[in-house]
Amino acid sequence: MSIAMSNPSTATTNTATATPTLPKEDDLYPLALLMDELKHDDIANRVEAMKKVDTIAIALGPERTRDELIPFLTEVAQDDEDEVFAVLAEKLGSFVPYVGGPKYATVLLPPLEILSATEETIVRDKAVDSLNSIAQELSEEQIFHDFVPLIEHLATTEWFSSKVSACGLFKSVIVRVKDDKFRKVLLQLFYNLVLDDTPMVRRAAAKNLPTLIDLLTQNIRLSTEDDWEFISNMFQKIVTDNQDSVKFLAVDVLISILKFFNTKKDYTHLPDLLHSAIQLITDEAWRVRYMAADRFIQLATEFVEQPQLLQQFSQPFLSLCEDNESDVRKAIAKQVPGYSKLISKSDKTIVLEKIFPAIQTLSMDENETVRTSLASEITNMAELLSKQECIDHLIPILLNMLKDECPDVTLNIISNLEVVNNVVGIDILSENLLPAITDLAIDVNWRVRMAIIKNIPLLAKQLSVQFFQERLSNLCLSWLWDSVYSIRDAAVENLTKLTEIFGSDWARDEIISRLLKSKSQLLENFVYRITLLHALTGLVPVVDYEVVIDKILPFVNHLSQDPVPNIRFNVAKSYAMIVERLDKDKYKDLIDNTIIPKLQELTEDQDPDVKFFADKSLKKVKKLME
Amino acid sequence: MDLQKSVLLNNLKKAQELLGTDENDEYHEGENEEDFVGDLPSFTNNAKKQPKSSFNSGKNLPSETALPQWNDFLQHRNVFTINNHRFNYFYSLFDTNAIENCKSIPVFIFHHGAGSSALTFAMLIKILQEKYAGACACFTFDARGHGGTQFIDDSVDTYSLNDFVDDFNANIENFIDNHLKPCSPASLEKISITLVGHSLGGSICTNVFPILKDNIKNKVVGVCMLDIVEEAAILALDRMELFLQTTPFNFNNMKDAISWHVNRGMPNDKPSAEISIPPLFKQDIISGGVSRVTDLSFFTSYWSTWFKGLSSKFVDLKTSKLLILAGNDNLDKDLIVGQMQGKYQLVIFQESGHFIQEDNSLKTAITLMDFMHRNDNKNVVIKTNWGAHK
Amino acid sequence: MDVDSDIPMHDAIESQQQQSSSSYNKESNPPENNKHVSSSSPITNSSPSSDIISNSIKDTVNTSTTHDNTQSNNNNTTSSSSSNINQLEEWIEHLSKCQILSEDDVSRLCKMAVDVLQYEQNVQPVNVPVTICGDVHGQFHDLMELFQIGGPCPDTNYLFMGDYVDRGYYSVETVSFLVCMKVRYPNRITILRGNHESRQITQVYGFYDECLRKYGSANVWKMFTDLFDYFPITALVDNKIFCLHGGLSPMIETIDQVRELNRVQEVPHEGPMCDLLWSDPDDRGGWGISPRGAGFTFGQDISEQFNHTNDLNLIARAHQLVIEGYAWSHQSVVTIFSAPNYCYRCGNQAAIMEVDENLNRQFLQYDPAVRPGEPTVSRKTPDYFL
Repeated sequence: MSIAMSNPSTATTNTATATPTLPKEDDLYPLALLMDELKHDDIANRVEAMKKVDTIAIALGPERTRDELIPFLTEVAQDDEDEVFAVLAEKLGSFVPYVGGPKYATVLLPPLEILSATEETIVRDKAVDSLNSIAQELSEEQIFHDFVPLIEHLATTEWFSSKVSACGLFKSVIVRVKDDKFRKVLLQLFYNLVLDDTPMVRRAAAKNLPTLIDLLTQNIRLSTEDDWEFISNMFQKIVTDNQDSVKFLAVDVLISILKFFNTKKDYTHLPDLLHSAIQLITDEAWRVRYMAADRFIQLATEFVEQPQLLQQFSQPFLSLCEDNESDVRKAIAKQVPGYSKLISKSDKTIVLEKIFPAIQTLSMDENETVRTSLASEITNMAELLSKQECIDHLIPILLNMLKDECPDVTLNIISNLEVVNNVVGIDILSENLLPAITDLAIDVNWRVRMAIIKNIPLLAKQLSVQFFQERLSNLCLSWLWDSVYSIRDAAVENLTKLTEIFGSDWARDEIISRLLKSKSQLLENFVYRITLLHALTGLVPVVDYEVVIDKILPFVNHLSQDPVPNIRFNVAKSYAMIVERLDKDKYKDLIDNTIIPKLQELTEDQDPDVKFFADKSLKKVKKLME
Repeated sequence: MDLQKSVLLNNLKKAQELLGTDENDEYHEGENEEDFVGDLPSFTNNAKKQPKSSFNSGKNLPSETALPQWNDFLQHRNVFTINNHRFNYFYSLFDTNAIENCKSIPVFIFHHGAGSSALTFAMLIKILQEKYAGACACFTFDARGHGGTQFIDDSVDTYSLNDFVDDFNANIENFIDNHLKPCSPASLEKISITLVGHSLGGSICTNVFPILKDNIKNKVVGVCMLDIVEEAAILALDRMELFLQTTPFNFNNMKDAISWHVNRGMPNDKPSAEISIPPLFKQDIISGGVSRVTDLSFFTSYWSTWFKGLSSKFVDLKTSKLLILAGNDNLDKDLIVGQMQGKYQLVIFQESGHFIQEDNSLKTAITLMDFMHRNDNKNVVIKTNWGAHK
Repeated sequence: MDVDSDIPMHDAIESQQQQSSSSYNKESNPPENNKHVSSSSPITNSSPSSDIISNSIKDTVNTSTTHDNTQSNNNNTTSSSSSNINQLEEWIEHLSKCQILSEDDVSRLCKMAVDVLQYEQNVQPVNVPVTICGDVHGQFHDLMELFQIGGPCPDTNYLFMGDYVDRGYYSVETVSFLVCMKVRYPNRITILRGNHESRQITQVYGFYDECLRKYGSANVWKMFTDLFDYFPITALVDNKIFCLHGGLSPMIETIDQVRELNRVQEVPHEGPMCDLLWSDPDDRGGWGISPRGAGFTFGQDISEQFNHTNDLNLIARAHQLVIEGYAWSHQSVVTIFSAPNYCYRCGNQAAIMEVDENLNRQFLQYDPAVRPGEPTVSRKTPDYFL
C-alpha cells in the first residue's frame, strides 16, 4: 500500500485530553452536568444526555468543544453501550459548525473512526453516514491528509466491522481526488475488500461498488482505462463469488457498468456484458435469479440502443416467467409491461406471440402472490396495444383475473382499469368488464364490494351521464341497502361524489326523486330510514339550495317525528348541516320558522340522546345565524 | 433506528421498574385487604421458585432405608401376566363396612406417563382413600418398560400407543374381575369408575375408553387427563433429544436420584418424590449406585404414535371429561373449540409443575372427587323448582 | 383461593361475597328493588303524518313500546355534565385507536359506570331496533370490525351478551371501550355479564395478566372486576327475546324469578345466577349435568316450556363457540358468537343479529379484521412430555 500519511489531528486532540485547561467553575457546569448524566447508571439517562450533546457544544463554544468536549466524547465512544454510541455517531455528523467550521472538522474523525469499528451495525451505519456528511465539507487537502488515511486505516485492520465501514466511505473520496494515480490506489484498496476472506466484507464492497461506478459515470472524463480494469476485475470476482448473498449483488454492479459504457457511448463491451447478464438471469441460485428478475427492466433498458442484443433477453425473460421459485415469478410478473414496452419498439410480434402466453400462464399461477403481483401492473399492457389487440389479448386475461378467488388480485385489476379504458374506450369496457364489475359489486366479501364502490367515481368521470345512468346508477343505489354498514356508508359517500361529477340536477332527478319514491314497506325498516336520511343529508353540501329546500328538508322534517330515537337525533344533526349549507339571509324565514322550532321541539324529546344532539345542533344553528 | 431501539429499551426498563415496584405494592395490598388479592397467581409463582433452590443446601435427606414404602400408601401389590409381560400393580379396596349405605362406590383407575411409574399416584391415592374414608377403590400399575413390570420374552419389546392401550385394557379387566368382584359381588353394580391418566397416560385413558368391554364401560363416569395437550406434546417431542441428553442414567445413590428429580421439578414435591422416584431405578451391582429401569431412548421411534389426534379424540369421548393442566392455559385448537363449546371441564393449576398428581395431590384429589360426584348419575338428582308455582 | 379452574370455587366466592355485600351495603339503592315502573311511555303518542311512512310502522312501534320499563328510565344518568361527556368522548376516541386509558382514568370511568349500571335491572328491558352480539374476548380489532359491519354506536343500538375479556390480547382496551360507550350512551348500548366477567376466571384466562402487563399492577383488574358485579345478567328485548350469556336454570322458571336475584356479587359457583351465565342448550331433553363443570344443559322441552311460560319468541345467548358465528338449537334458542377466528386460531366466523322494529331478524357474519402486527400466538413448550 502506497499511501503513507501521518495523522496529526488525532495527536493534537490526545494532548488536549491529557492536559485539560481548568476553566472557571460556573463555565464548567454544562459539561459537568453532561458528564454526570453520561455516567448515570441508567442507560436511558445516558441516551437522553447524549441527545442533548449539541446544546452543550453550543454552550461551550467552538474552542472548548474542540479541546474538551470532543476528547471527552472520544473516551465515551470507547466505553458505553451501543444505544449511546448510536446517538453519538449520529450527532457527530452535524457537529462541524460547533467545532468552528470545516477548517476544524477533522477533529471529529477520531471518535467516528472508533465508532465505525463497533460490532453493532446500527452504530456503524450512523458513524459512516456522519463521516460521509463531514467529508462533504472537507477541503481536498483535508480529504487527502485526514480522510483517506482514515479509510485506509479502517480497510486494513483485522476487524471485519472496520472493513465493512470502510466500504461505505470510498464514495466520499473517489471523485474528489483528481490525481489518476491516487484514484488507482484507492481502487486497489477497494479491490482488496472485494477479495476479502469474510463474506460480510465482500458483501459490503459489492453493495457499495455500484455507487462508485455511478460516480465515475457522472464524472465520465475523469476515469481511465486503469479504472475500468479494476472495476472489471471486481465485477468478475463478485459474479463468481461462491456465496449467493454476494453474487446476487452483481446484478446492480452490472447495471452500473452498463450505464457507464452507455454514457461513454462505448458499445464494444455490450456483447460481453449481455453474456454476463444472461448468466445471472439463469443462475443456479434462486436469489440471484430473483435479483435479476427484480431488476429486469433496468438491465434490459441498457440494451435498448442495440435491438439485436435486446431481443436476446426475451428467452431468458420467458424462462423467468416459468421459474420454479414463486418469488422469482412474483418479481418478474411486475416487470412484464415494462419489458414488453422496451421490446415492442423493435419487435411487437414477440409481445403478442410469446409474452402474452406467458402472461396467461402467470395469471393462472398457483401462487396467489404471483397473481397479485401481475395484477398490479398488467393493465399497463394496454398502452402498448392497439384497441383490437387489447380486445383480443388483454381483455380476456383481465376478465379471468377479475374472477380470481383471491380478492387482492381482483382489487389490483379494478384499481388500475383507467389505463385500459383509455385504450379500448368505454364501449368495450362496458361490454366486457362491466359485467365482471357488477358481479364483483355483489361479491360475498364486503371488502371486494367496498373496492368496487371506491372506484365508481373514477369510472364515472370517464363515462357519459347517459351511460352511467343506464349501466351503473341502479347498482349505486342498491349499495345503500347492503347488509353491511360500511358498504352503506361508502354508498352514501359515493352518491355525494357522483353528484359532484354529474351535478345537482342529475342528483335531484336521478337520485333524490328515486330515493323518495321508495316503497313504504321498505321504510318500515329502521336501517332503511336511517340510511336514507344519511344519503340525503350527505347530498346537502353538493346540491342547489332549491333541492335542499324542496326535496331534502321535507323528508328530514318528516323523520323528526320518527318513533326510533336514533332517527330523531340524526334528524337533529341533519338540520345543522342544512342550515350550514343554506344562504342565511335568503332563507332566514325558513330557518327561523321551520328548522329552529323543529330543533327546539327535539330538545324537549324524552330520549336523552335526542335532546343532546338537538341541543348541540340548535347551538350551532344559532351561532350560524348570528 | 437507534432512537427506536433506545426508546424500546427505555420502555422495557420502565416496565420492569413498574412491575418491580408494583409487586411490592401488591404485596402490601394483599396484607391489608384480607386474603383475596394476596392469593393471586403471581405470588404462588414467585413462591414456587424458592423451595427449589433450598433443596440443594437443605437438610439431609433421609437415608435410603428410611424412604417410604409402597404399603405406606396402598393396601395391596400383585403381579398380572399378559401380553408377554408380568405387570406389577398396586391397589386399595373399599372397606366393606364403609360402603354399605353408599349409592355409589368411586373407583379410580390410574395410568402413569412415559418414564414414570405406578407410584406417581401413591400420594394422591392415599389422600383419596382418606377423603372417602375407605369408601373408594384405586388401582395403579407399572406400564411395560417401567418400574417393576417385567418383559417375559427375549425378543425386542414394543411401545406403541396400541401396546400400552391393550395392556391397560387387560389390567382394568383383571382388577375388576379378580379384585373388585370377589371383594363384594353385591356392590359391583354400585361402582363408578373414573380413568385418570397423567401425560402419556392421559392419551392411553382416552384411547382405552372406546374399547372397554361394555359391562365396564357402562360403569365409567368419566376420563381425566393430567397435563397433556396434543400440540404442546408434539412440540415437546422435538426437544426430547436434548432432554434425554441432559438426563443422567446413573446416580451414586437413590438420594441423589431423588434430589436430581426434585431440583428439576419432576416432581417439585419432595415427599412424593421419595415414593415415586425409587421405582424408576434399580441397584447397579457393578458401580454400586443406581441406574434407570427405563431407557427412554428406546421409546423414540414410538413417540409419533402416542399423541396423534389426541385432542379431538378426547373432546369427542362419549363420557364426562376433565382436563387438568399445570401452568398456563395452552390449549390447542381442538381443545379450545371443545372447551368453548362446553364439551369438557378444564381446570388449571397455575402453580403446579408437570407432575400435577404429586405437586398438588390434595387439590387434584378434591377436583377428582368433585368431578366424580358431579357426573355420577347414581348420586345426582337435579333440583328444580319448575312447576312449583302452578 | 384454592383451585384455579374454569369452574367457580367455593372459598373464593365466600370471601368475595363478604366483600361485595359490604360494599353493597354502602349503596343506598339496592338494584333488585329498582322495579319502579316508569309511567312515561315516551314514543307511543308521536305519530308521523307523512305520506311516505306507512301506517304499519306506527302500528309496530306502538306495539313494541310496552307497559314495562323502557330504557328511558335511565334518565337519572343522562343529566351527566357536559364536561363528563367531553371526557368520555375523549376516552372513546383514545380507546378506538386501541390505546389504553391511564389508571386514574379507568378509576374515574368505573365510578361513572357504577352510577349507570347499578340502576339497571337484572332483566334489563331493551327496545327494538337493536343489534345483539356474543362473546368478544379481548379481540379488540374484531370488535371494531363488528361496528364496521353493524354500524357505529349510537346510530345503531347494541346489546352485548358478555365475555368481553380473556384469551384475546386486548381485553383491557375492549372492556374499557365498551364500558365507556355504556356510560356515554346508556340508552343505546346494553352490556350483560358473561361467565368471564369474574375475578376467578380472569385470573386464569388472561385479563388479570394483561392488566398486570399493561399497568404494572392489578389495580385496573380490581376496578373492572369490581365493576362487573354490577353488570345486568339478562335483558329482555321488546318483551319477546330473552337475552343472556349462558342459558336456563332449573331454579328459574319465570323471568320474574330472575328479577328477584341479588346479582351484585361475584358469579357464584352454583345456583340460578351461575346457571344463567354457564348453561348450554343440548340435544338431549330435560336437564343435564353440564360437561363444563358449572351450570346445566337444557333440552328442547325445557326451552319450549320456558318460552311458553314467559310468552317469549326467542332465547338469544352466547357462551359457546359456533363455527358459523351463529347457530340455532331447539328452534327457539340461538347462539351468537362474535369473536372471529377465536384465540387467533379456531378458524370460526363471527356473527351479530340485527333485530328490527318488527322483530325481524337478520344475521350478519364476518371474518377477522385485517390487522397489522398481531402478536403471533406463542405457547410455551415444556422441556419434557413424558
